Amino acid sequence: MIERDLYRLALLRKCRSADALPLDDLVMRANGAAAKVIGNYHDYLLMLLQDVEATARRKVSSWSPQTWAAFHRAVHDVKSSAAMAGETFVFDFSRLLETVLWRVDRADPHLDIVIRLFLTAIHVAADRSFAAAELDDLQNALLRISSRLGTSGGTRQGY
Amino acid sequence: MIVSRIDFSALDFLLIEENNFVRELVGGMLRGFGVTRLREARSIEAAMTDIERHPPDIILCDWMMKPTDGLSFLRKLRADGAKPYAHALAIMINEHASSDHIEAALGEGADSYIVKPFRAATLLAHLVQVITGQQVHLVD
Repeated sequence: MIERDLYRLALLRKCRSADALPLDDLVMRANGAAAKVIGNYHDYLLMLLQDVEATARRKVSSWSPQTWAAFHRAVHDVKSSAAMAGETFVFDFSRLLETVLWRVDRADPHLDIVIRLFLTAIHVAADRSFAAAELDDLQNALLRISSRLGTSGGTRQGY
Repeated sequence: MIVSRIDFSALDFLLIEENNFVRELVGGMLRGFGVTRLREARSIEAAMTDIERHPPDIILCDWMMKPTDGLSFLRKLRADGAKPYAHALAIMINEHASSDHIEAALGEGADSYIVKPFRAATLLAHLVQVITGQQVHLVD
């Protein structure tokens, strides 16, 4: 215990300096830095969604106008939710997807297609260096939603 | 003595987080606090290699890591008190706020525990607390 106290004391000495800033100033500077990172991430998310839309256009040619409408509604929800999530300073993709998909009408006959589209998003995200644990979280979230809704879209490979 | 100013520039920080966004975000906050000696690791394995080579003063580690998680990391960190890194201050970061999680982390040697999502003021309050033992209330 004494060793730990001495260790802390040594660190505290290192933190004393004529250049030390008030704590409130440090918070303000850190908030500015965080806002910049979040702004970049929103740009990144929008790019991700564009990729998803482009992939959908390439791979799904047989969609009806209603299916496309469901898809665009989901994409719109993702963008809106991302803007809200940014205010909390941490963007949680898995929680966001749950929110988005619960917003979609459970009776929507195209819901499983929407779920599959988000699985496509996972593929795109994987290419963009999302972490393995986050991909697993995403897949699990989608499987839970898919199971609750009784749809079949539930594998990372599935379209 | 009450600490109202602090200079982190002489301290070595290690941030262990596999999520790119969170790592960038927390790294940005730390640099905003004036941290200049910040190293980052995307896995516990990479972090241990880094720590063996150059022990940091303060470690921030996310719990939900794969294949080795943050709790196992704490065990490794504190396993041998003779190691030069064994006394490094460690802050565990996790999205779970249950008392079981917090007690487990503190029991394995975490000096503090932050629940995600968090703001810069919260992070700074925890850093000040682990270094000085002083509780500070900062307005965001």
